[in-house]
Amino acid sequence: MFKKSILATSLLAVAATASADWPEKPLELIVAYSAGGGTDVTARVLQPLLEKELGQSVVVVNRPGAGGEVGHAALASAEPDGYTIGIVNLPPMLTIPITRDASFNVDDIIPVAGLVQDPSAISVPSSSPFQTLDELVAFAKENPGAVTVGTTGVGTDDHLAVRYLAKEADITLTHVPFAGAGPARTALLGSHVSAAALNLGEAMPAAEEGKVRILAQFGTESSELAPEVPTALSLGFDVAMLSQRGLGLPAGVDPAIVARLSEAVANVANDEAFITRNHELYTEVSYMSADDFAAHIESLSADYQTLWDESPWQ
Amino acid sequence: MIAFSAISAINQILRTRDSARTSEASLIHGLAGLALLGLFVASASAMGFLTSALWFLPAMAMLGGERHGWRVVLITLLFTLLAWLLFHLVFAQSMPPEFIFGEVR
Amino acid sequence: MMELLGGVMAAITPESLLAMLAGTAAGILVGAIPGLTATLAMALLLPFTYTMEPLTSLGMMAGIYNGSMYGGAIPAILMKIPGTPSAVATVFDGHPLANSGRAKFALHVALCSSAAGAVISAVALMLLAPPLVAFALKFGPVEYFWIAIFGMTSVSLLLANAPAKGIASALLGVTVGIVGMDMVSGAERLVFGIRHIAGGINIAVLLTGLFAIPPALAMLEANSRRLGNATVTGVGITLREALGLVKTWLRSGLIGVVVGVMPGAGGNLAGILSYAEEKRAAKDASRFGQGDPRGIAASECGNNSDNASSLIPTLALGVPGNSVAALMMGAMLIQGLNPGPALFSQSGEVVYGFMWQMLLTAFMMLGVGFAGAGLFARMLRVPTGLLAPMILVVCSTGTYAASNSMVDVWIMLVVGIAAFFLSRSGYPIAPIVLGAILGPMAESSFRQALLISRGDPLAFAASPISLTLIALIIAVLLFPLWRRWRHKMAAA
Repeated sequence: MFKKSILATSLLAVAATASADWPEKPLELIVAYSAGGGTDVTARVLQPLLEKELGQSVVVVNRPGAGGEVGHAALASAEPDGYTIGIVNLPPMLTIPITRDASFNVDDIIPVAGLVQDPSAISVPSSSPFQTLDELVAFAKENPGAVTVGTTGVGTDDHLAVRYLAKEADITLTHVPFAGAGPARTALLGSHVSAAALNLGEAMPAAEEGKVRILAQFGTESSELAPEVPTALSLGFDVAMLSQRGLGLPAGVDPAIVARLSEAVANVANDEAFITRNHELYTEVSYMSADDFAAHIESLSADYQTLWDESPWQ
Repeated sequence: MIAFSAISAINQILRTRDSARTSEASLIHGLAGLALLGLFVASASAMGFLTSALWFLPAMAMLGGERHGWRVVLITLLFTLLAWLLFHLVFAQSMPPEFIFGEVR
Repeated sequence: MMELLGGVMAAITPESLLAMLAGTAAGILVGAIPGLTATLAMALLLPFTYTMEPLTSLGMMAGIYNGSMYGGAIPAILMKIPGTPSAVATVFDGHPLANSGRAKFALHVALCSSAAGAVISAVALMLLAPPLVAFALKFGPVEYFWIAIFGMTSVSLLLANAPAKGIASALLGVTVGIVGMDMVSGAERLVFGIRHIAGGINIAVLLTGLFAIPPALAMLEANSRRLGNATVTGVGITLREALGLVKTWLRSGLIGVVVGVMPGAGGNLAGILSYAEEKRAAKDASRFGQGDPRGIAASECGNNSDNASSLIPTLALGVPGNSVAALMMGAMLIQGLNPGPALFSQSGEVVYGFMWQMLLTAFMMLGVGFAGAGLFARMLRVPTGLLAPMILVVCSTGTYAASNSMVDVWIMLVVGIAAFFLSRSGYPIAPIVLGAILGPMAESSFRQALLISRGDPLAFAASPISLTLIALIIAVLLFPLWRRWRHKMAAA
């Protein structure tokens, strides 16, 4: 009995010292998308600041494939020693296991911190007759299926936003998927579709140049980057859909390490330089602690599961 | 339809294999080379690319008819060193852990 | 215009010049090693750019981009292996020329053509960006569909010898392209539970397996031993010969610029399309495939001229046209630039400086290329028995480094095995590439177009661009028949 408690205490001490010294060697930061893309840029803006916080080098490793599945699976199956961290993307991290027989489960990843977000939004070309979302909805009610809405792909936050909106407004929209934000934006600029659902950050540069008009954004509150764009909520449509990026660790990592990493990320999120750079990239910094992030993920996961069970979107 | 195309393609290949008069490798050399390459890839995931190169280069050189043993060894070592410099130092990539160089981050 | 000229000053600072030179030399080297591509080099350079000045990192990238598109021609000519996927069509006429003792000439043709293409593209970028962007925006799903069909009918010209086998190759390519998640419905096709390819098979992996593995294996043959010496024989190019290629350059340059400007047309197509078009337009096409310098000129000019122009949608719309442009955009984002409609007003000097860098690296490439071609060929004087495994090791390692996945390396191997058997049986390999890229593009564009038009087939002939493309396709299809009819008339 005594021996056992000595063993337990010494193990605890070892574990405590192990995590107290973390990190002792370089870390690997997994990005589930290719180099040069939005998530990659977020990671690379984060990287030098995180290195300063942790005192160890952080190497960004891209693991693209299967719409983010490969990268998230790589994070989920990595050694839970705290030296492999990854950027987690919402909604992909949640929707991929729901929509197909994926190679990872949501429970295999520990949410560490929420970092940045970019709400989905619906925009029209500047030459479009629709000045407000209400006008578009009214037209769609009169002419079911006439309004074509381009999105960034099947199963993306933008696609889900369109589905939610159509359900809320009781209209029929024709969904036209494209191979990502770039092609969707090009189609919008060329007026090949009547409207497009893109993230606010994707649409804003064109909006600033007067080429598109953002009718509404699907965030929970007004965006500090575009305060004049109304939220769908404020217009009476109960739709909230954002693209979020945060950090995650594989399940099984020592909670002390999780806390330490979350703290480091919080410091980065408060850094002026980080906030400014993200604003230049049209993303909002919105830090969430490990517990908040985990709770958020749980509720989102339940929502998506319900939506999928009711009407599968692919 | 895919099945049909696949079957007809395979049929075509089998039928014309013997009458091929292209400048490709002969069947023996080609198959042996491919087999070696397969072994190389398998060993690379276990032992690392560069460690595997140490046995792969001499093996394939022998297949290609190289006689001068010392030249083979010299070039193999030189190549492996250059490749190591290129991929690990210059590119700082993480690779499958090298047997001889230890875990690379 | 003033900002454009102001950009020159930014581009010729010592740091910028040094970066451009280093990038060009590195680019040629990377391009010349089969298995290493410009995409890979840039992806690996990306982390370092964070600490550099914008124009330094952009200058290096400009050099790598232009240099690698030429570098790929070197092994294509000397060893029948394209160093980068874009140099596929250079093999057709480059290698026969080398075989007949005119390697130096072939290399020079490739070099001058690459430089010409790069210059044409850079000039288009500098002067024609706004109208080209407006033009590119006119291309919607309907137009992309016809472009894909047009590309695939060019395939028929490459298959003059064995149409049935060629079409089979193209269909095989389409099948490979189908693997992955369908864009319109989200369904997974031909994935067989291998999660890694649920997003599709990486084209670069496909190309490496198709074009690097069979020739590397061929090196193991005793009678190919002499090629391993890869001596740069023969005389170089004369000014008169160079001037004779100008028409080819203009034609391929135009094709490359247009292909590059259209986001979504992807890379690696410009060279093949330019080659096919050159062959079609040639009065005497009999020597194509046996060492006609116009073949090399078309392919090399084409693959360089989609470089700068692919940056047009990247800079102006924030939509990268191919993977290299995507990486450059990522580098710019890291540097604090915002490619897209706001870029020119926010960071004009850097952007115009960068355009000049794309132009200046074209000339640097000329210099480095003339000086270094002999050097590189001398480096290839390794016994073929060793050269083959070296190439295979670099291909495998490079493929792994690009995506950190062994699955890609296995796919490369499987593709290589298939390519070995296919080419032994006389199936052309190039159409596989076209099928893999254009097949999915045609399919998804077709379905998008139908969604937008809500099932109305007349939408496919609605815009002037569509009609032009349809006319071109009919022309391409009928051309061989017309030529034969003309011969008959002449003989009568």
